[in-house]
Parts: sequence; C-alpha cells; structure tokens
Amino acid sequence: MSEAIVKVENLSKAFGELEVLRDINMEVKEGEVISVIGPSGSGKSTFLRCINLLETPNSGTITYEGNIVTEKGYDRRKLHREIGMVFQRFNLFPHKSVIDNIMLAPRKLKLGAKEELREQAMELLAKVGLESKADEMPGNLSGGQQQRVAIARALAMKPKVLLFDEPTSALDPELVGEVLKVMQNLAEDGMTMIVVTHEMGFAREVSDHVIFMEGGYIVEEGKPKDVFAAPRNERTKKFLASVL
Amino acid sequence: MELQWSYTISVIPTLLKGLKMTMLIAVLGILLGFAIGLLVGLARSGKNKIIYRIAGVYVAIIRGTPLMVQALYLYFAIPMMLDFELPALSAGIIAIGLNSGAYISEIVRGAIQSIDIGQHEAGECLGLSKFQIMTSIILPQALKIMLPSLCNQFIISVKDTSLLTVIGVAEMTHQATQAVSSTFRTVEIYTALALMYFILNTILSFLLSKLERRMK
Ligand SMILES: Nc1ncnc2c1ncn2[C@@H]1O[C@H](COP(=O)(O)OP(=O)(O)OP(=O)(O)O)[C@@H](O)[C@H]1O
Ligand SMILES: [Mg+2]
Repeated sequence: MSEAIVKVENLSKAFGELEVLRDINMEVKEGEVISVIGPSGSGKSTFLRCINLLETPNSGTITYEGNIVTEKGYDRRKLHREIGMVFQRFNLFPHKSVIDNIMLAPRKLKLGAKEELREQAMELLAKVGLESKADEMPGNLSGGQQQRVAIARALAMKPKVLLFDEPTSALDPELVGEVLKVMQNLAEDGMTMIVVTHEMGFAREVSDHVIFMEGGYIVEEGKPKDVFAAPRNERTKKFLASVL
Repeated sequence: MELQWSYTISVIPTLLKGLKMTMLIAVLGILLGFAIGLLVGLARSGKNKIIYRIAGVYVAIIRGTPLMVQALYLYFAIPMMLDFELPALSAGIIAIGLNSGAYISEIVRGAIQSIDIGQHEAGECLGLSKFQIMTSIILPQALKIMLPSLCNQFIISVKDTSLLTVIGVAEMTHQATQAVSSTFRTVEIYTALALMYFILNTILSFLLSKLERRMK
C-alpha cells in the first residue's frame, strides 16, 4: 500500500465550550475516495474545514504529503493550491463570468499564459458538460450547473486532493444527479476525494471507504459494503435506518 | 424695501464663478475622502486591533464634531500650532476629504461585511493571497453595493462646501455673501444661491442615478 497523502491524527476542535471534533484519526491514500456521513451537527463540515485549515484545530496533527501542516510556519497557501474545496453553496464569484470564475486563480497565480489558461478552462468546462455556458454569469445558471462550474474552478488549480462539503445538499432533487455524475467521473479518473454527503447511493457506490461521524467522533468506518450492509454500531444502524 | 428680482439674475455670473470652486472642492474632496474611506474601511474590517482602534478614533472625532469646526481647526489652529501656512482652498479640500472619508469608511466597512464569508473562503481555497482576495473578489462586489451610498455622500459633500465660507474659500456661498454685502440685496441674492444649489443637486442626482443604473 502506498503512503497516505493526507493523514489526520488525534484531531480535536472546539468552538469555545462546544467540542465539535474529538480525537479524530484517519488517512487518505492517493486515488482514494472517502465519504463522510452522519447526522447534522456531528462535525463533518468542521472536520473537512480543518483538513485545509479553514478552521484551526485545537490539538492533533494533520499531515499532507509527509509535511505537518498544523505546525506553525507551514505555508497555508501551498496547501490551498493543492487541496481544492467544493462548497455546499457553490460560492462562485457572482461578478465574474463562468470562464472567468475558472481562470481567476490560475491567472492571479500566474500558472500560465492567458490563452493557455483559457484553453484549459474550456477543457474543464467540457469535462463538466458546460462548454456552452462559458460566457454566462453564474446567476443565470441552475444550481446544478453552478456546482459543476465550482468543481471546474477547483480543478483548474490541478489539485491533488478535492474536498466536497455536501455538494448536492443545496440542489433541487432533479439536479443532484448531474453533479454526482461529474464527481463519479472524477473518482474514476483517480482523483483523491473526501466527500461529506447525504447521498447514500454515492457513498455506497463510488467511495472506497465510508466514515460515519456522530457527536464529533468517528463512530464507525470501513468499506461501504460492510458499513451499509452490516453496520456494527447501534448508532450507525439507527442513522442508516433514518436515511435509507 | 422693495425687492428687485433683476438682482437675482444679475448675480448669477458671480455665483457661477463660485460654483466652479464649489465643484472643484467637492470633487477633489470626495476623491480624497474615497481614498481615506477605503483605507480606513479596510482597517475597520481587518483583524489588526491597533489599526482598528486608530481608525475608530478618527471616525469618532469626525463624526463627533461639526464640519465647520473641523475646517476652522484645519485652517487656523493647526497651521498656527505647527507654524506653517495652508491655503484656504487646500484646507477646504482636506476638510471635505477628512470629513467625507469618515462617513465613506463606514460605507466601505458595511459593504465589505455584507459580502458572504463564502466568497473569502472560496478565494482562500484557490490559493489566493489576502490582497488578491480583497482586490479581485471582495472589493469589486462591495463597490457595487456601496455605489448608491457613495453617490449620496457626494451630494452631501457638495452641500457641505458651503460651510467653507467661514475660512474664506471663494465657493458659491462665499461669493453670494460678498455680493450681498456690497449690494444689500439679501433676499434676491440668497434666493438665487438657494436655487443654484437646488438645481445643481437635482442635476447631480439625476446623473448619479443614471450611473447607478448603468452599473447594475
Ligand atoms: N464557526 C463556528 N462557531 C461556533 N460553532 C460552530 C462553528 N461552526 C460549526 N459550529 C458548531 O459545530 C457543530 C458541528 O458543526 P458542523 O458544521 O461541523 O456539522 P455538520 O456535521 O457539518 O452538520 P450539517 O450536516 O448540518 O452540515 C455544530 O453544533 C455547529 O453549530
Ligand atoms: Mg456541514
């Protein structure tokens, strides 16, 4: 087995008195897709946000490619360039066209000539099935289309890991499928992904590993077929019964 | 005394001379105010406690004192204390700049804070620097939100220039007062003055609202 690309050890996080994450341990190998499931408020988003340092952990370490990112002096921006994030509410830049949303960061960070970056952005749009929307403003797109643009925008940085925080939860039910399809394609292309999701179908079919969180703990984890077919923990059983 | 409305007409060329000065001070003053307001607004939105406090003191002082007193202080008191001379025009522009800057900084701060935190996080997650996030994501959106309030502040500043008559800047109100003291046609001339301000601001409001619509 290859080395873990992201490794989380003894991670704890509290907001004031409220302990949100307690002693979380896990690791992700290159090309692996991990789904994080659990009830609302269990700390899934916070967990994801700790991984790319949008939240500062209270204790524990996070290692990325062998470097401890939770140490003082680690270059956060390097981490952000390599670990992308897709948000529940898309967070597209409303004042920029679709193509400019995708090109903004690569342009600002001077990752290539303008024409080259445009070409690359068009390829990404093709990948998410939205070439024809390049010059639209985000506000004119459906939620599903906006989320696909957000995925293309994250991919433009050529990240090594992609984090998804409930990417389909803000979507009308009929738009969920198109986004999941794009994510499934990414998974098949070998992208390393950590996905917080309420889509049990996705967690079961696409991911290599499922983590069930509750009350800030990882209560159960394992291969999807084991966790879904034969959950060992009572709380996992209860949760699955409520969502399936 | 019988009113002679012909004075209302004949004073207009004099007032127009003052109008040029009024507009010069208002435009340069608001530009200075915008620069100050942007910096102070950013300071008031940032995390640095010391800069935040200093900016807060500035805003409190400006908001807590009348513009006329600020102008008097700037033109007479400060040059006397520091032993230098400040031309009335410069003092007037700086007074309008400092004054509108305080109000604009609150406009800037409000607009920046109204931008969804997710915009900031999205920029951060793409590896952009704080400066890049501010200049290419937050400010362009904030500017759009600010525009109506900025236009409003400009109109206020245009009217505020009339207070600068106390430091002898030859703006429109000053010109009118001079004309009154040489002709004693108080009613006729001040009527002309009031009308001039009213027409000027009506035109400005119209132009600015057109600009706002174009920016939408
Ligand atoms: N910035 C914050 N400040 C204070 N409390 C917070 C903050 N962010 C999250 N919390 C709290 O931490 C707990 C865990 O939140 P988190 O968003 O991680 O849960 P979640 O599992 O993602 O839930 P959901 O499924 O609703 O998205 C919640 O009780 C939440 O109110
Ligand atoms: Mg969440």
